[in-house]
Amino acid sequence: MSSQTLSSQPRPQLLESMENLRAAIGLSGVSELVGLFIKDGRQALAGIDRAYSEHDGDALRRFLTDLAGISAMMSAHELADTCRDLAVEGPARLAPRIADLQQEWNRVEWLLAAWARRHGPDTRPVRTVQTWPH
Amino acid sequence: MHADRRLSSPVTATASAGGGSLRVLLVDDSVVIQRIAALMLERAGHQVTVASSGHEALRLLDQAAFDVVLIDVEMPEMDGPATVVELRKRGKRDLPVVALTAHDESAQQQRCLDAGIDGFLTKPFRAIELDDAVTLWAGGVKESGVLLHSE
Repeated sequence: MSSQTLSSQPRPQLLESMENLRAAIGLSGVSELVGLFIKDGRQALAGIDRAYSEHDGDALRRFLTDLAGISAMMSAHELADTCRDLAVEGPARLAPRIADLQQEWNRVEWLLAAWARRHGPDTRPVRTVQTWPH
Repeated sequence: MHADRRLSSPVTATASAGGGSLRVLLVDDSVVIQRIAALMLERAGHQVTVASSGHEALRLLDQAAFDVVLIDVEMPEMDGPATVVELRKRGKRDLPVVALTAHDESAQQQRCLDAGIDGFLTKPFRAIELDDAVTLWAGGVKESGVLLHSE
């Protein structure tokens, strides 16, 4: 787990957005979404890695677009913007920005895990260490 | 057709077509988008059926009637535009279809329009914007290419 603290985060609007989302669909709905988002996000990251390794530009774009879409819906806008940019720029521009993508994902996952902890143990997503081979 | 035409946010229509619940077919391969959109639509009083692929959507469309279809553009195997081309071939020419997009790209939007998609809703969207989208399109606002934008 990162040593970051909530107060050190420069963009707490993610958590504010979670509260807005809770008002729209309820706590149980948001709690479910947090878990689904982390699961889908990890799958998308793995897909991005696989597609990059296999030089599959179409799959890379699709996984980046998938991650952009779900990130935007969860109000993780910086992550969504990074994914959109990379989807447009293509594989040639991905290598130097992989670390940025992974770092932004880690930050979002940490924030959502913190939000989930605040709202009860049942909402806590399972956290595993995400590795990035490149 | 004008792919860049849009209704500026917030869309203000609030009256549901037919005065209430609409039958919405939601097509998206992302479980996150499926759940969030379904929760929003159900809270607005609509009946939501979810499909995870274009093939599943076509099967459901053969089995049941819907007032409007929300479909993701980028899906594996059969994407949104390809699905809509097929459903139009099957005679569902007047069924409103709104694309859910992560990009605001004119080329992608033009491909959607050419496939027979009626409008666009970009992610992220809010609950009221999603409700407005299905209400507008199911209510007969079929001005091709209108982009319902959430930002």
